[in-house]
Amino acid sequence: MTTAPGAYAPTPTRPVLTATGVTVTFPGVRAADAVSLTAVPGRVVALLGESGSGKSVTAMGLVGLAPGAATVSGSAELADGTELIGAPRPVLDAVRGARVAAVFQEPMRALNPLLTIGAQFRLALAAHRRMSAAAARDRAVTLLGQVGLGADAGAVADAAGAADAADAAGAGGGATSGTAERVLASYPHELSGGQVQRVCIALALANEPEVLLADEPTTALDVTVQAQILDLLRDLARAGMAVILITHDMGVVADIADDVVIMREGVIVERGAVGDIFAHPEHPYTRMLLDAVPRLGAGLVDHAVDAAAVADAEPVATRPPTGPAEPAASAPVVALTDLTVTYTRRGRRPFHALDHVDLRIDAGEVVGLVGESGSGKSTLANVVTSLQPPTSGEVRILGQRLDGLAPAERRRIQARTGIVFQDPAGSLNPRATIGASIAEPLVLHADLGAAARAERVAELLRLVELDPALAGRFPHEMSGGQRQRVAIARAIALDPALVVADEPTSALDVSVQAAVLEMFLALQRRLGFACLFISHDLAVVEEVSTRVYVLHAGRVVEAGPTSRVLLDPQDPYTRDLIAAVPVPDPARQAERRAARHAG
Amino acid sequence: MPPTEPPRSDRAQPELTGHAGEPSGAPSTHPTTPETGELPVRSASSDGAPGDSRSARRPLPGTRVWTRLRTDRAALVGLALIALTLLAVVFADLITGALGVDTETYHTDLLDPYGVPAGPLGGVSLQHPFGVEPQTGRDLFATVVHGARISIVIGLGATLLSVAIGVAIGILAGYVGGVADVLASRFIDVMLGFPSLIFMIAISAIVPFDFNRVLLMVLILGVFGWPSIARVVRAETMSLRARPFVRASRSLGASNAHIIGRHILPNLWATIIVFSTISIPGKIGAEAALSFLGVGVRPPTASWGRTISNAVNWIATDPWYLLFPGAALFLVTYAFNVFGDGLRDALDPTTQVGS
Repeated sequence: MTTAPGAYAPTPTRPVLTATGVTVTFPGVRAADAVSLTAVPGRVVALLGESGSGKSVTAMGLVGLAPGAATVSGSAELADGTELIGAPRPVLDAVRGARVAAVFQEPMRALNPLLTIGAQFRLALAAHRRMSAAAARDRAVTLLGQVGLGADAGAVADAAGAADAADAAGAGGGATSGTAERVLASYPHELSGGQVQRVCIALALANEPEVLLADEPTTALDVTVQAQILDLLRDLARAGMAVILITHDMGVVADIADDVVIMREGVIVERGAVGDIFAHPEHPYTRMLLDAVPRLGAGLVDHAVDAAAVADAEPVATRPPTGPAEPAASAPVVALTDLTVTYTRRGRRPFHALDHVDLRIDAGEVVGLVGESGSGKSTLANVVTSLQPPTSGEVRILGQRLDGLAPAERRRIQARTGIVFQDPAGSLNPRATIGASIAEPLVLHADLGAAARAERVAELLRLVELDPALAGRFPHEMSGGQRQRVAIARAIALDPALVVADEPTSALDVSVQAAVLEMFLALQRRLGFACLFISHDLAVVEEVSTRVYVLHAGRVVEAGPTSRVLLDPQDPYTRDLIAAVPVPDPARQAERRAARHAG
Repeated sequence: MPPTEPPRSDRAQPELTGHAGEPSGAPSTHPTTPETGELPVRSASSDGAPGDSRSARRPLPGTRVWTRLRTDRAALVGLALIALTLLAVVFADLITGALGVDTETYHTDLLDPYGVPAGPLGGVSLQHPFGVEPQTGRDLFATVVHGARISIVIGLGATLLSVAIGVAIGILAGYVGGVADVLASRFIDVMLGFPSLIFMIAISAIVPFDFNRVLLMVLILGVFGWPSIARVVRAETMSLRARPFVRASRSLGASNAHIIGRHILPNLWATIIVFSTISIPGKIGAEAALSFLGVGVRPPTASWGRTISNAVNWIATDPWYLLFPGAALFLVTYAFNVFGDGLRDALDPTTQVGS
């Protein structure tokens, strides 16, 4: 990378794709209303919006890939005058993949798992031109080189990631060589997520399209891998590709977009050059979105004060006076010593999900746990909530060793811990009303009559800022944010000493995430429970926790006060991780990018 | 206990935009509802003042299912047909007695010289509403009504038995996992590959002559019919076991019985019901096959299966013979299917019914 984004001045070019007044309707719902958009060679236009904003159906509607029930109207014209909307199938077939190509969110699901990468290239190429097998192969090697999967430095960097991913999956073997030949002979599952997304991009490039539609191309990837894929997309644009990037992530937009189109409920609320939008957002919605994004480094000053306050006064002041007996103040709520969890599967080498981990959480303390996928975060959560027995090492919850505990004693400890999961749809039984879900811990551990239970459920719903009248609802009748509030209500139903929150807001839109986080933190201060807050999002962890542990490949690579770890990381992995997070500020992100490439 | 005052007052509602835009796909169903929870209340019983506890006055689950089922016209038709059939089963003697027909009296006077019923539609008359059997002239109405008794009892009984065994083994394999799963799965595979028909014939042949043949059919068809549902239930249980709400329950120290009863089974009902309703006609057919081979219910006991297999031989000369028992089997199959579909939808809170 040689040019900083500020220095890049695109020559004004004719748009290669001009969409005007694109309207997508589903029976009864207008998903996109009169959306206009241009794709210009050499520029990345970001279509930004929260879920349900209509950004994806609009983009897919341009090339006839909107869901079957959708009706698309308006106009989408290629540079030579070909109209795409309403075009007959043969026209679309000739355009899709050849002139407009798409990259999707989940790379692993975008490829046929039963075909080698080489076979997928042959199919992609054969769809639009006649080509000998040898020529197709040569072309594939060239394309893989273009996306950094040749034998150059980029591939080597990603190969390290692949080794990690292979470790994470416990797969043992798999791709460790970055050479294009090895990749072509591999099946998708043998590659890492980042490599597969590179392959998808290479496949999209196979027939030299004019427009690349990238639908949340990095959302399913870890942040360090995301940084590499964003670099790649940026390089492609600089080389003259017109890129339409669909995303919900402000950081991603700040990182690579030139122009931004912000959609809300199917309507464009604001559009402009990326610098203008971030510096002077005009529409209240844009401002709200920018405000809601957790920013790494934003809360550090407050936190130094906060941490002291929490350590000194808060737990005592806010602890409900009539609460059940707390453990002795000196005993940590969670103490993991030399904890190892090893998975052994027949025919595979043993895999250490957690490798000699030490971790401590004191009463009333929020501790962050950061790591990428496969780092062992969730295994740790399972150990703490006694869903997973340790292979070796000591687990003490509320001062008691978990192993060798009598069942009744174990249940008593389990009653003192709550858990909140990432997926708001999956964490509630779809066949139970939310009242029943919240009441479950009470049924299991508290000897309450039906009336007292209903009273407590109503009280819990109020605590998470929901209307108690919702108790009779079913989960599918609620929004994601509401469901996550219900999951939190269930976790605090027994007034726990510890709440394990496993990526509690990752599946939520930023605006909802901000509200749920704020509510959760207010609850924590008020009820004084200790919390293990697991997240891959450093900015969120910074906002909530006083101390943080960084987990990488099953080992704690760094631990300490949040502000110290995030401002002055000592471990090289922590440094990479922090450097890879795109910040929602184009100017700062450009500096960070330059620094990352220099370093 | 934590403090109880509502926290809404001390802070402006923080849900900034919140509406249509959540990952649940909410926009398509509730396009304009705010996140704060004022979704339109659908259930008729939940329109009380907000703020009080609603769960105490919530209707029983059965009430809700019936409320939803009541709006599903196809399911109601199915239910009516099933009820009618069950009435015929229970009051078969009364019905045929009132009409003055029975399954055994020969009416050779109603046949032409070739043994085919004289008159239109296989000898349909006021006296014999479904016509008469060829060759013997026995009343077909009585045969169909009494046949229902055997066929329905065997179909329902064998299905209940096989579903009970299959669900138990499937949940055991899928929930416990490990060695139990390996053993149960192998057992399922062996049973699926087993030449059941031959075994059934052998068993029917060696069972003492005076053993109740209907009970025997139920036992044989039930004991050999469970592997397929066990396999389906096992797979579904395995996926349910890994879902977060089950893990949340386990992390609270819930017993296995609690998890299976409260979380696994309610999410299996749809599968079990659909499987059962398509299994009933299959069991009736299996009984017909065994009876045809001479090891099922013995003549002169009427059963739909036996009557249909007899009628097939007469299809060229007396097609009407097949019509009535065939139509009865078709209607019962149809009724169980549409009722099963409706019941599944009514039990599943995520489906909109009766629209």
